[in-house]
Amino acid sequence: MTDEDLIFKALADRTRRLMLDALHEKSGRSLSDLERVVAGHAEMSRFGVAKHLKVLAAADLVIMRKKGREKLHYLNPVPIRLIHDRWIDKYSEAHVVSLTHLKNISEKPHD
Amino acid sequence: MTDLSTQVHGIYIDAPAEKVWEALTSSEYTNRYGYGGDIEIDLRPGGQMRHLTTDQMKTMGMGDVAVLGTVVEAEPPNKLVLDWSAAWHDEPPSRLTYEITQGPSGLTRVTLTHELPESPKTAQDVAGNGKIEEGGGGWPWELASLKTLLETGKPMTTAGA
Repeated sequence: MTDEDLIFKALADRTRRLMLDALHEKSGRSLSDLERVVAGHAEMSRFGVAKHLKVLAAADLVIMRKKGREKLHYLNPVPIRLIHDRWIDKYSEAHVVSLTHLKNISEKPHD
Repeated sequence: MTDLSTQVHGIYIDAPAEKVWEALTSSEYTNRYGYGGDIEIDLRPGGQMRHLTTDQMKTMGMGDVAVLGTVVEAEPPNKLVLDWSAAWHDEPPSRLTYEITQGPSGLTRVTLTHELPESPKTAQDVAGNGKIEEGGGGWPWELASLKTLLETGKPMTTAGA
């Protein structure tokens, strides 16, 4: 799988998106902390949450750091930026251009 | 509210660690990615770092310096630690750490950790807000443009903006 595949695969799951949102709100969370976040929405074992974290880490969306004896998980926004540059900009730009074009045509005075 | 007091940004760059180091510490490169501008850095503990403003930043009312720093640790090409202050906010210095590790495949991992517990405004700016044209790219955009420059040799079109 390419890096991009790993990112889209990681994002294609509701629990993993929930975990990313939680890390966006507050980065640097322990596994237990993330377990509590997930528990509010779905029934999942600690092992299940750890497995999701592994997928997020493989996509480089989450970076693990040791702080003392604790392992903390941080959101890495950079791959999202790269996906944005590669995919979103390209298409949204086209929309803007065509809408501007439409605006120009429709606003042209009728003579 | 989003807690941005510790930010971790990681990227893989297809370039040797030495080249990444040079790109972070020499004006020859710093003018061609991210926000642009010359860099002056005395690479020893206690040495001063000044990231200067571009002409465009000056027209926006900024002085000569965009970022002021002090070198805490410099271990070329693998580790650079700085006390880092944004000139556009009056906030205490934050701690910026670059870890640069070249892997066996030749890819270099760059991990930037920015700890800003007492600089919330700076934290918000460097996290980026997606508004690239307004200078809101932050670290994710800066690192993405560093990657583009080192891998393609081409500066990003918005570099120096």
